Amino acid sequence: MLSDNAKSDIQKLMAQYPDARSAVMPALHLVQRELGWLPDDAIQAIAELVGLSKTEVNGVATFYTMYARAPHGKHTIMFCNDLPCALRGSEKMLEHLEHKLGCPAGHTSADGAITLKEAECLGGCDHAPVMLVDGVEHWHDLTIEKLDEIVERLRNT
Amino acid sequence: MPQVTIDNKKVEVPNGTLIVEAAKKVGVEIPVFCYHPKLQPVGMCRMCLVEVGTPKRGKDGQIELDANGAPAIAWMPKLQTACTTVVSDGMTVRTDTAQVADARRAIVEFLLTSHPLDCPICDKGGECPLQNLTMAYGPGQSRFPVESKFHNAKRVPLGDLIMLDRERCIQCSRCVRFQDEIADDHVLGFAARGRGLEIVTLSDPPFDSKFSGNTIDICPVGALTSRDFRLSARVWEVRDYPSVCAHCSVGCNILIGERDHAIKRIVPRENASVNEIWTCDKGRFVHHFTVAPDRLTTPLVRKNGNLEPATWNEALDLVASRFKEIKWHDPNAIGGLAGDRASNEDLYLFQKLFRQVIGSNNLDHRVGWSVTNTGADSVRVYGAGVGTNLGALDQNVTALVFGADPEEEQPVIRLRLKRSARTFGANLIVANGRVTKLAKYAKQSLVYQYGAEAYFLLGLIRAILDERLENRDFIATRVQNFDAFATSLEPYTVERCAEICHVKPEKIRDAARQIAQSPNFLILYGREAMFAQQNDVAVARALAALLLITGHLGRANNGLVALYPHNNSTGAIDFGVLPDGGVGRTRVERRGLSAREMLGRSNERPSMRALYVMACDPAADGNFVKPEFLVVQDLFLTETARLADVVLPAQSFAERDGTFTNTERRAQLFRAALKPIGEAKPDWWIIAEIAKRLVSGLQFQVSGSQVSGNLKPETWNYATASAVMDEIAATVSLYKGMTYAALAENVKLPRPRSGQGNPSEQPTEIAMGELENISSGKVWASVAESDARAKFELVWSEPSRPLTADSRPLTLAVARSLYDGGTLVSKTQIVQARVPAPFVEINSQDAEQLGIADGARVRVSFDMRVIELDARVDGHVPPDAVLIPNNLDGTAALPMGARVKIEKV
Repeated sequence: MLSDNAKSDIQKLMAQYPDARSAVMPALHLVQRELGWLPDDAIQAIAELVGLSKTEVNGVATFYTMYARAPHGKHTIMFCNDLPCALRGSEKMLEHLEHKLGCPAGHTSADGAITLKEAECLGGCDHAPVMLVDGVEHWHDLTIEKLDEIVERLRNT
Repeated sequence: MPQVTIDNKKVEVPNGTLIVEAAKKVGVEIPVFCYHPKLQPVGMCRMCLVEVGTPKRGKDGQIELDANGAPAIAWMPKLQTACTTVVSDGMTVRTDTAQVADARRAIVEFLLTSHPLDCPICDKGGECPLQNLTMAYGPGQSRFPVESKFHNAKRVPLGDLIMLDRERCIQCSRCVRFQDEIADDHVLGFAARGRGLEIVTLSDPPFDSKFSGNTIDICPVGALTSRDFRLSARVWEVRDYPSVCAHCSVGCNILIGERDHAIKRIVPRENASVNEIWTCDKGRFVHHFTVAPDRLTTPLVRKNGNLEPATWNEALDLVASRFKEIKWHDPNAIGGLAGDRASNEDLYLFQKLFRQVIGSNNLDHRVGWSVTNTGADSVRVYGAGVGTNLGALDQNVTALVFGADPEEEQPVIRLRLKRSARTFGANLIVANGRVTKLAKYAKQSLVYQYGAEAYFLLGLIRAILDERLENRDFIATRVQNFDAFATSLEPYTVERCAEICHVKPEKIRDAARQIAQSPNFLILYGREAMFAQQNDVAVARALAALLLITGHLGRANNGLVALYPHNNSTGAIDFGVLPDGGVGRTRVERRGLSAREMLGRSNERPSMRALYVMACDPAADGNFVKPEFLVVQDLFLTETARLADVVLPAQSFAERDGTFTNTERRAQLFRAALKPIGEAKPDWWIIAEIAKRLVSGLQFQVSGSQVSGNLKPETWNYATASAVMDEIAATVSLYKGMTYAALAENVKLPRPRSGQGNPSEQPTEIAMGELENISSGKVWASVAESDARAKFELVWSEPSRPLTADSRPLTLAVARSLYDGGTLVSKTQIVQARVPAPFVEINSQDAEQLGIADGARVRVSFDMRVIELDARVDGHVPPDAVLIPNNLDGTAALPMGARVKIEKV
């Protein structure tokens, strides 16, 4: 299920904690990056590596919203829907995104490239509106033009 | 010890006590949902909120006093959870204030926002903490409209045994914590969060645990229900009868819930010394055999070649007249086989019938046991001291678990040893021919070669002697023959033993040091070592020697526990259902024939003219030749019964009173819960009736004028099982005073029988452990503890080397599966999925050499037999051994330690 690289990376992660089981969260991130989501077999493989039961690893993977237990787009956009962003026009922008991707928030574009999700505060209110791409790229001071540019780039990578 | 004041009542409690427990001591009830005394507190449900204050201290650190001269209390600004707050000296707690009442009301209202309130169709209704606490503390009305109820799946199977109702779950996590902390099978967990939170199991098979049923008892709502009991009765219609589980040798205390003359459910009954408040799923669910449609309901007598229904008189007269006739020619032509599932009363009378009326010592209970020595002598002399509690061994106790697999054979003992090791720090040394589940709790897990068990033990003894770690004071005063013993062991160096048993010498030495230096040392020895072919005597003697040279006997937490296979194996030995052992573990002068000798081989004439077979099924093991006259007494028409001349229907444990003696020598009382099925009679009654008929005729046969006391029919008049036990309590020294009245001490029903008292006032939770430290039953004392001046002789026997045979290179280890193909299990449909398909487990190294892949079909040949099985290659067995669980489809009566050959089909 897991690549040899992923396995050895997880083993390295485990060595960084006093209790190897603590590596479960970074391990889930790592595997999700590799596979795009977390199928049952991956949960099982991680459980065996870190010494937890499958049920326990599933508990962690379903508690945190940034882990995906179902297949989704190649990229994920988490778009902030909190008040400061709304005051700076985020609602319009989300609508624009939905049009552009051809799917409502919570769904994946027809070409499978991008999953659009709404998110609570992403911690960038002083530069609202804000969104997070693939869990790592933090975009702020968004405009319609900027959105178009990012979506184009994501579609092509 | 800190002193606390709870609702103006003062109480002193040990350090570390939680407020909720301290409150119980002064009779203040603090309502809880997520808290359970057996589990770690988590503070999830918030039902236990109380006001907490501590003495106010000035800048100088002195306690400030109020106007009345009492310490001023600094109240915490918000309510605290009583289940997670540890008491401190001077702490003051208030549970009777408006603020607390308000909080409880709010919590109940909150919990009920997403609860369906379907109590009228809920199994838990009537013994439900949520229902009770809502009535006691709830608001009576909700501010949330009923339409806003959150709806969810109501029938989610968690495996074959448990059903989850997601709407009812209040997310207290008691079930998850039970599985993690007590059962240590991490197969239940939360998934998602918030309103989407649910209990899930992802194991294969789902909810893969032998203890899953306990989660039903501790669920404080009706979320987890038994798929067996579900919707079949209201709990207040079920009458509870105290009983003892009739499966394995742990002897878990249970309550049989009866309604309409059938067992509706079985729940554990608390006994702190045996099962705490738990039981395994086999004990809970495998009870359907009691009312199975194929139970024998009338005596059967063979007429014109067919078994035809007969009256009791007809059947008993026939048995007595044939026994009388055969006895007249030769009493030793009559043999008796009594299964170790029968009660003490039955077994006692069975041997009394044979020894005193028939005059034959041909008696045995070891049908299907490949063993000649049951360690009976060792247990009588060195048995673990009275007061030993396997669930509360602490860091001062080292326990050697030898050749046992409690997870499959005595599941609750696995739970208890785990608790001892993990909670109290007991030092477990686990030694077996393979790695069992218990090994993960051991400080040392040692794997020896099957067949070399005795060498491992001799290695331990030698290591102790080499380092002069033996208990010289004890040896000087109590042990005979020490010098000769030590000298004769000289050739058995640790290195030599290590080489034969395949355990590294330094590991043997390390274990030996721990054993000798530990203040207390206990041995639990299991079937795999007890049944060690060729070496069963050597193993039993070496174990005794280990205890003797270290002086670890005669007191609690020291000595030997033999982990027997069945519920009353101990009783069968105690009451002398053995060719060479008499009642009360005495020796008989003239040894009779053992089961194996009586049954003979298929190509021989049977050595017995008549056989009386009670509660066992020798024909199922194959090679059975019917003697001239065969009497079978059982619940079912077993394979042996099909061949019988007379079949006598017996009552199951649920229909009658009796006692079983568990593997720790604890005699325990069980009570009738059901009406007899058909005309079935208790075993003790049937035996007594046969004896009476024999005796009344025999009086005239006895030569001379003296008629011995036991040949008077009136000595066989027992009105009840209790009367039989009275005779035992008066005449058998081990069981002195163990009358039903004595055994019933502390046997308590957690709630009054239905129909008695006001239901709303009855305590209702089944498994809160409220009776902590209540234990019942009586343990008989071993010689070592009852006789402080007894001298012991050190003996050992030279073990034979592990067998080798070039043509059959592997050693057969016979395991057991908790759920097997036995008659009792086969009548309970819902556990059938847990009965494994027969398989043979092979080490990956051997498998590779033989070209066998996981799942391949293989042919296993041993002794005179060949069986075909699926192979499992998964690393539990060491090289050179194969493992086959006994008593699955086609794997009955396997010889432990035999040499086998394996080939691909």
